[in-house]
Amino acid sequence: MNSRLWIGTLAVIASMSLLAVAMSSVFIDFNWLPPVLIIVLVVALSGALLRMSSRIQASGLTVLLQLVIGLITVLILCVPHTLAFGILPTPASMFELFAQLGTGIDDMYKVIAPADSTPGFTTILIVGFGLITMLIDGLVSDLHVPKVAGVLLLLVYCIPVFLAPNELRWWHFAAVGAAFIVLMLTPYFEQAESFGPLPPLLAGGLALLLGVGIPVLLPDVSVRPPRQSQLADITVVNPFLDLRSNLADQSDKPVFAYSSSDPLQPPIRLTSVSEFDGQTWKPAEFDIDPFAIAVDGLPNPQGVSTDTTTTEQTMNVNVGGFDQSYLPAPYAPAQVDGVSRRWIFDKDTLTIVGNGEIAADQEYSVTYTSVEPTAEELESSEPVTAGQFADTLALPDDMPSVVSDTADEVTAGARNQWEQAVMLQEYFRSDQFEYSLDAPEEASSDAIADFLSEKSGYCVQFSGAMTAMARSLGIPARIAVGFAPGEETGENAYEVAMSDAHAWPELYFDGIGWVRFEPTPGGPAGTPPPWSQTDGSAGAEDEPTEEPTEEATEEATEEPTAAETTPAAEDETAGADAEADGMPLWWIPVAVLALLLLAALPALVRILQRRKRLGEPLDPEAVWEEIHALGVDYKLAPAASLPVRDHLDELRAAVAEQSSDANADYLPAVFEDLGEAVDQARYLDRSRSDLKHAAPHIDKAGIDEAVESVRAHYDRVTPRSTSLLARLWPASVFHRR
Amino acid sequence: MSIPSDPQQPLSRRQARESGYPVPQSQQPAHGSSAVGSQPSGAQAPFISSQPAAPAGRQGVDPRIQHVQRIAENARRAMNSVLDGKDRVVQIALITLLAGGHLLLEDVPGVGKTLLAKSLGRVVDGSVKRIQFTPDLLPSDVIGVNLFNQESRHFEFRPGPVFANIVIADEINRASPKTQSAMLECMAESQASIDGTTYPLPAPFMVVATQNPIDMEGTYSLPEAQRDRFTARVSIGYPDQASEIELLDHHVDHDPLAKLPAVTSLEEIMQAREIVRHIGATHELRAYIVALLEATRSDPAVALGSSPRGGVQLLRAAKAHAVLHGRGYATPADVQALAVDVLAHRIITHDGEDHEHAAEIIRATLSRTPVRS
Repeated sequence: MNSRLWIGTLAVIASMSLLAVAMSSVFIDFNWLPPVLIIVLVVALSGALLRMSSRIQASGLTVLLQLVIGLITVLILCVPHTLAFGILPTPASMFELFAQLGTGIDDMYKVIAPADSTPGFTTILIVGFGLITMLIDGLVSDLHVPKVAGVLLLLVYCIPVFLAPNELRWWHFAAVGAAFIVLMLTPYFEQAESFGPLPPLLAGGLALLLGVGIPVLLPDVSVRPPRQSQLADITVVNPFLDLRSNLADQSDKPVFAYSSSDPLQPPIRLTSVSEFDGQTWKPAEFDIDPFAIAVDGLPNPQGVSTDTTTTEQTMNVNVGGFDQSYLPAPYAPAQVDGVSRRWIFDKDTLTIVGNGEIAADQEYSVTYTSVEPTAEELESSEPVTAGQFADTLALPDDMPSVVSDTADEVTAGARNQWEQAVMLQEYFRSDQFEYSLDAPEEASSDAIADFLSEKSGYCVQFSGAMTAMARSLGIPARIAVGFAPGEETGENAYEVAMSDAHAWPELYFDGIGWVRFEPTPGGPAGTPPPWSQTDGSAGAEDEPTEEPTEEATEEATEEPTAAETTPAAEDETAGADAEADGMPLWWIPVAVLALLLLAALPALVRILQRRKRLGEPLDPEAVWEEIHALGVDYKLAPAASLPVRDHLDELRAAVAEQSSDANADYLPAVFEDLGEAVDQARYLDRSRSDLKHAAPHIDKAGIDEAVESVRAHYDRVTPRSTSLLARLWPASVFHRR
Repeated sequence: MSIPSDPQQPLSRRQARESGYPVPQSQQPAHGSSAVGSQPSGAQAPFISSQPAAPAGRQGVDPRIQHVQRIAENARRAMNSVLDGKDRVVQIALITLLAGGHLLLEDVPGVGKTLLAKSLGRVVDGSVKRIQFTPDLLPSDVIGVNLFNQESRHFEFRPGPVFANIVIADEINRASPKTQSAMLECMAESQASIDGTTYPLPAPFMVVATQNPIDMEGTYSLPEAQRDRFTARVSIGYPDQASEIELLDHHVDHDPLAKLPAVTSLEEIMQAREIVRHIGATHELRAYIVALLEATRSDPAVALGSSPRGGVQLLRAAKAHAVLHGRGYATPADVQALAVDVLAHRIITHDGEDHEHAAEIIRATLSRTPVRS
């Protein structure tokens, strides 16, 4: 009996170790491995030791005691400094443990496998492996269903499969396969007991050797590509290239709807493209920082000084079927709420990109800093130094000179860069140019030159030409891609369709930052922003009279504090909050649910066992097993030395006393026939004897009723607590057969 | 229906005896659970067991088994009419007979040991011979002698009293060990050897030995080897009060055996033995018996546990018990019903030869050996 137990335990340890090997694909280092192996060993060995005591085993306390031992081990491994006398858990240790688990979950969103094993990850692994070991141990040693345990292993294997599909090598799978086979073979090891403990040990050792030894022999860590290149694998399409077809999109299906009270009705940006290779515009490659999480707040927009007039605006967006990795947001987003932590941003362009997420069906609100400079502010802006803005000033070598010549021509007489920009916009918006979708689709250098002579095109041409010309004048420029404000459907409510796709130039002014212009005279394009109006007076006149004054004060008092404290402070407080009380809050119900599920497991297993035993075709031995199990549940199990028939006779007599008249005459016969059937199944040797034996007839209805009557009898003779316990925590589940 | 030895119906028993014990066609043991001890004189009680016997008329029971049941029931009824209140001993005697074993009756003088043996011989209609064992009895007195015939000038074998179907070895523990061991071959091999010639004993052959408790005067302890050859050892014990009053009524004025008829024949007994022999025993049952034997050997209170022969005898007896309950297969219940009678005299305890102690040990062994390992 004991050697059976130890074989089961060995199998559990071996398979869990192999599982840990498979898990190694997720991490770069192996620091997490020793504590995980320790918890597996402690849980499995404590289970085996506890099961050696038949009293503990019979009471079903094994799992609870195992849980306690496992928990203390987890605390010692994860948060040793919080323990009193180095072993006694304090409230602080639980809190700390949950905090670490929370950090681990945060880390999970931040990094992409393979990653360093942070303390948070290690904690999650220790807790997870402890729980799984307990579960598998229970399945193998108590319930004797190693096959179910094997399925559980494969389920755990899904974690590396999902997290690090690129890191999986064949031997990771081999390790899990070996673990699975070890579990599958457990019953056979147990049967092979008579050959001594050698074969199972040998087989287990071999499996372990295969699982652990082969990975050691194979080159692994060194061939892993550096982490950054892995991260850059997020693929985003260049929305700029789709503009033409999007504009022609006739379907009125809204891409997204939003509500905003911003009087300027800014276009909604997806990203900006700044790299021009002479053929097309592309988004600049940027290093994706998984820790730049959009919901934690975005940094201040580039170049905006505290003197710049800005307003804080909010937009609520409801995206429909838009399967892009960009999150639509007006410039310059400061904070996004309502999306997952997998949405990250690029600090230069303030593009929000989904790390494996798409914008479809997202519902969120964006708080953005609307940069609304006055003409005066723009006028006083100094030209930038070229070095810092090399990327956004670059023009391809083959750029036809007509572009820069036209730019110089148009902006002749301008006193500063702002006036140059305004003149450029004025040039494009003049009668010379007309809006047409018939222009060639490409956006190459030659296409820009052609556009300047044809003077007909759509937003791609207008924005491309203005950007290139601004660059030739020494103004850093890039093209923003996104959507025009769309159609107003109600008060402050808008709907944007695919045909509202748009592109517009963003020009950089020192001290003010990136400022949008609107050279496109038609199509979905909205009205030009006030600061880009002819001489600055039109926009700068009517708006600043009311707003800037008001805003200036508001800004002076609020903005520095808000701008500086909000994103930065929010970064910390939001993160800290999530770890300190956000995590435990949702962990507690989950943990309670898991515990409840764990507690209900024996009862569920019992119900399944019962259904299986009493299922047709009826096997008398199985029916007897069920009746015996009932006895065990109610702590009224017959002595092992009592023959089946004698026990059934006792039950028959007891049941006959209490049964109603209706079945008083036929229930005893059911018990008798069952006894006869069990005896015949066990002791009738048909091969030896030619004596005739009619098989007794047992039918399901009768058996069901008999089993029910036995339960009723037990309910009657035992105290309420026992009968309740028999249903909720049936001892027979833990009974070793 | 008349119930011969029911103490509450003394008249019916007498009636039955006077009418020559007509054999009822359907003998159905009563249905209901009753321990043997609680109903010492009930002929209605089933054969030794806490379980009910399958009714003989029950569908699905082989007619041959039913036939054996009927024979045994008749014999039991007849013997109970002679031995008041000794149903259990009668049953054990019949089971031993069907199992092809020998019976050791151990008790104080005068409780009916010889009467039981004689009545058994009577009901099977076989030859019954009685040997009174005394300290000066020689083996030749038991087995027989070769005498020289002057006329034919040859030695002639004159068979001894052992050549009979039922041999009553009265007070076997009074004989010298040499004579006792002469019985060994007869009992084990069912044959006797004199001067190199082997003579088969008649079939069926059964020794019913009686023995006084060893602490009585003038007795030799029965050697273990010989004790082991008896299938079962039973004590008759004093009759209960009602039975004893009955006994004084019948046994004082006439011979109780005089009118005891034969209810069966030797042939039928041999057929019945054949049927009992043919009952199978599954591996599971054999494993159980071995576990029991092993348990007697490992018991700390036991100096010497049961021999393997004890297991053989126990299985045979269990098979007979099963047939008498209308089953064609033996179960642990059969084994448990007979284990004390079959095994108790085979073990040697550290505390000397106390029967009750040995029986207690066997009972403890039964209660701790699971029926299914």
